[in-house]
This record gives sequence, structure tokens and C-alpha cells, in this order.
Amino acid sequence: MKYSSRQYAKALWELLEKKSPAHQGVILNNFMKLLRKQKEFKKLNFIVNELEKIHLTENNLLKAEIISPFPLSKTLTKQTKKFISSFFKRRLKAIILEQKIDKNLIGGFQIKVNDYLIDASVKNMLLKLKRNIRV
Amino acid sequence: MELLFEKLGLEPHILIAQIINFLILIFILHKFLYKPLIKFLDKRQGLIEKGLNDAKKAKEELSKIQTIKEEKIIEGEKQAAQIIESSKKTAEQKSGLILKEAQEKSEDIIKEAKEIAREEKKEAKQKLKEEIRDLVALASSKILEKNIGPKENEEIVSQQLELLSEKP
Repeated sequence: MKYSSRQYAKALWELLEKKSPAHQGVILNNFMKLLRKQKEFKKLNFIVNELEKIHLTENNLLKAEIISPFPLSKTLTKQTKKFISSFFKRRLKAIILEQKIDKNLIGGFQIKVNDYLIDASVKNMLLKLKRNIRV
Repeated sequence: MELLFEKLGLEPHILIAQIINFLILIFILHKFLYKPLIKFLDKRQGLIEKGLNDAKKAKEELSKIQTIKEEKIIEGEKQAAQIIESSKKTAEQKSGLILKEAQEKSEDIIKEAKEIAREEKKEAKQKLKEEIRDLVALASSKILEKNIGPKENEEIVSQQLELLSEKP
């Protein structure tokens, strides 16, 4: 019988939950053996992604990515986290915010949460401006 | 009678003999010369008459043939004239149709060419507008790239976060 990546991830999460690190190591080893036996090792990447999603949901965490042409100050990082929290209307335990640099954005930022994108970059503003110029 | 014969120097028995001879001669001539001659002449006359009749008939036939020939020629000429006339008409009609078709085609081509020219003009205009927009955007981005540093970026990010927070 074949299982989906989500089903594997859920099962693995339940097995790993509240186990000691040593015990978790044994479980992971056995899980790998099982994937090989089932000939579903190629699903590993998807399973890890699903596992991460379960981990974030179960712990009331949100993983977000902020892209900007320059590194953001601590104050702005805090402000960004606050904005994300209010934007998604969730009381979160914590926001895991990854910062990336992209000079092409010129200024401003882009926030990516799962498949959601908030584009407040100067590049995007220029694109909008370009579309609205009347010649 | 005898006296007369004597005066004339004729002897009756010689005369009778001569008469008989003459009669015999006439008979022989009649039997062997006149009859065949007359027959020959009759035959000859018949032949001549027949020849004349034939010639007359031939002349008449020739005349008839001539008349028929002339009639045929006239009829042929008439028919030829009719054919020429009808051909002329057909040719005129066809040439008229061809001319009309050619005119229609040329009108279509002109219309199509005008349409293409209009489309091309529209496309060129659109392209020019696009290029102007690109240039404006490029110039703006170049200016902004030079003028936006970390400090300015902090301001922009802060302002944007505030703006986004205000939105419902």
C-alpha cells in the first residue's frame, strides 16, 4: 500500500513526539529503512517539508521570509514580525523570520509566508507606475 | 397508146421491164438502204435528243446545284455571322465579368493593405508607448538605485509596514 507524503510525515511526527533524542534517532533510522523497503525514498524531501509544516502548526509557529535590498535593523525586524502577526490575525508563539538580500528590489521589501506574497518593493512600485503611465 | 410509145421511141415491154426493175430497185433500196438508214438516223436523232435532254437536265441540275450552293453559302455566312455575333456577346459578357472580378479583387487588396497599414501603425504606436514606459521605468529605477541606501530603505520599509497595517 502506498502512502502520501503528508501521511508519512504525520505518522513520523506522532512517533517522534515527546521522545528522547536517542530514541528519536532510532525511530528516524527505522523510518529510512521503511522508505527504502517501500521504494518511496524519493518522497523524503516532501515528507520533510510536511514535517516542518506540522511542527510549525503544532507549536503555533509561523515561518516567514523577508527579502530586502539591504539588511534590516533589529527595530524594523521586530516591527515586521508584529505586522506579520497582525496581518495573519493569529496569536503566534513565535515568528521564524528569515532575511534575504536582493538588490534588484531597489528598496522596500517582499514578505513570503507559505504561498502568500506581500510585495512592497520599489521594483513592484515601478512596475505599477509603468503600467499606469499614460502616453 | 402504141402510137405515142412509137413517137416517144419507147418500147412497152422494155418500159415495163424498166418499171419492174425500178420497182425492184425501190424495193431493194427501201429494204436494205432506206430502212437501216432511217433506223440509223432515228437512232442517231434519239441519241442526239437524249444527249440534248441530258445536257439540258445537267444544266438544270447544275443550275439547281448552283442555287443550292449559293443558298448554302448565304446560310453559312448567316450562321457564321450569328456565331461571330454570339461569340462577341459571350466575350463581352466574360470580359465584363473578368473586369468586375478584377475590380473587386483589387478593391479587396486595397482594403486589406489599408487594414494591414492601420494595424501596423497601431502596433508601432503601442510599441512606442511601451518603449516610453520602459524608458521612464528604467530611468526612475536608475535614479532610485543611486539614491536609495540602507537609511532610505529603512524609511521606505517602515512607511510601507505602516501603510499595510492601516489597510483593512
